[in-house]
Amino acid sequence: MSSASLRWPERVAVGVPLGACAAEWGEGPWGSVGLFAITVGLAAIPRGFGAIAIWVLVGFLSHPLAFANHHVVAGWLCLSLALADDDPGARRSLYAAMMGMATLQKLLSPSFVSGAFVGWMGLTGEWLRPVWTLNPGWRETVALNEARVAAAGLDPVVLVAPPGTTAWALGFAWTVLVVEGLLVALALRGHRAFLPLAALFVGVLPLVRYEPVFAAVLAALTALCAPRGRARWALLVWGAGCAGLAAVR
Amino acid sequence: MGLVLLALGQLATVHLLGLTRWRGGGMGMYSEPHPNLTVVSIVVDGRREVVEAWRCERLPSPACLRETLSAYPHAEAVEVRRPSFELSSRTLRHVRVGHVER
Repeated sequence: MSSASLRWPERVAVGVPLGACAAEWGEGPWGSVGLFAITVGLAAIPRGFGAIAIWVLVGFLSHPLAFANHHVVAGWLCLSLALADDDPGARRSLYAAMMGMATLQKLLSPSFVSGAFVGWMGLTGEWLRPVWTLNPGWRETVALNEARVAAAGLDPVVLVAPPGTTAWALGFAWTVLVVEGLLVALALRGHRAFLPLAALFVGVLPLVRYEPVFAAVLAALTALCAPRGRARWALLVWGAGCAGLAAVR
Repeated sequence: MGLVLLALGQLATVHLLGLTRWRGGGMGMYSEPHPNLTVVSIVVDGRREVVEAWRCERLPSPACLRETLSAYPHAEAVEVRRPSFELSSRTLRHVRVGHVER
């Protein structure tokens, strides 16, 4: 195996997002214990990723319907690190496989390709929260729609939508599909444009949808697609920062 | 390769059995509404009462629905509804994706 080993500061930086996943698995104080144990454990034990991969596998097999996809991503990242330590090529293959499946799922989902899912998420304030909270018109639309949905229960309800919502939602949905498809192609080819685009994607992700733990895990995976250097460290710090945001919330 | 095989298996389960894309390791997050928005309800005297049944929210299999129904002896039926938004009419509906009668 030609791959080098991750240094301990890198293992700690990757361990923070993984620890944030553990914090989600554990109830109450056990979450913090999990975060601490994984972060410190990975600093001390270079081959600790294999143990975490086994832990994730056992958790997935025992509770497949409860196991969130970003925890599965964390498990694949650990398995990949256990089998091919610091190998950016192996990480890019993992990234391409993961993003390729995410893109295929969206393409096969009628509500996504029609723009309906994106439109609904936008009209109910689930997406682009940092943007719409600054826009009084959008804020009012979201408040009206939240009230209508709450009042309707299981009955059909017509949402308030500003002009151009259909075009906006369709455009947004297909932009996501194109960007994700491009990321897969660039990762598979090992193209130099992959890293800037992947970094932009994971940088914008928390603005589109506030999922800091998922963003943290994806940032760690993206970081390890890069060779050692400033770009890798910037992404590792971003990932740790996202994990920190999750802890604050 | 393992990731792709698992994800393709999950994808088949989504299309054949109605598993949510958000679970099962298929990387289908943000391709459809989250399963927490799925509603499981029992029918009592023709009226619906929402109940807690998170497994049926994620995989509305007949076995899961029968198990839920058995927990409510007074119920006539149990059903699972998922949100479905139509962009052209801006209408949100809860579409029935699973149903078992006593």
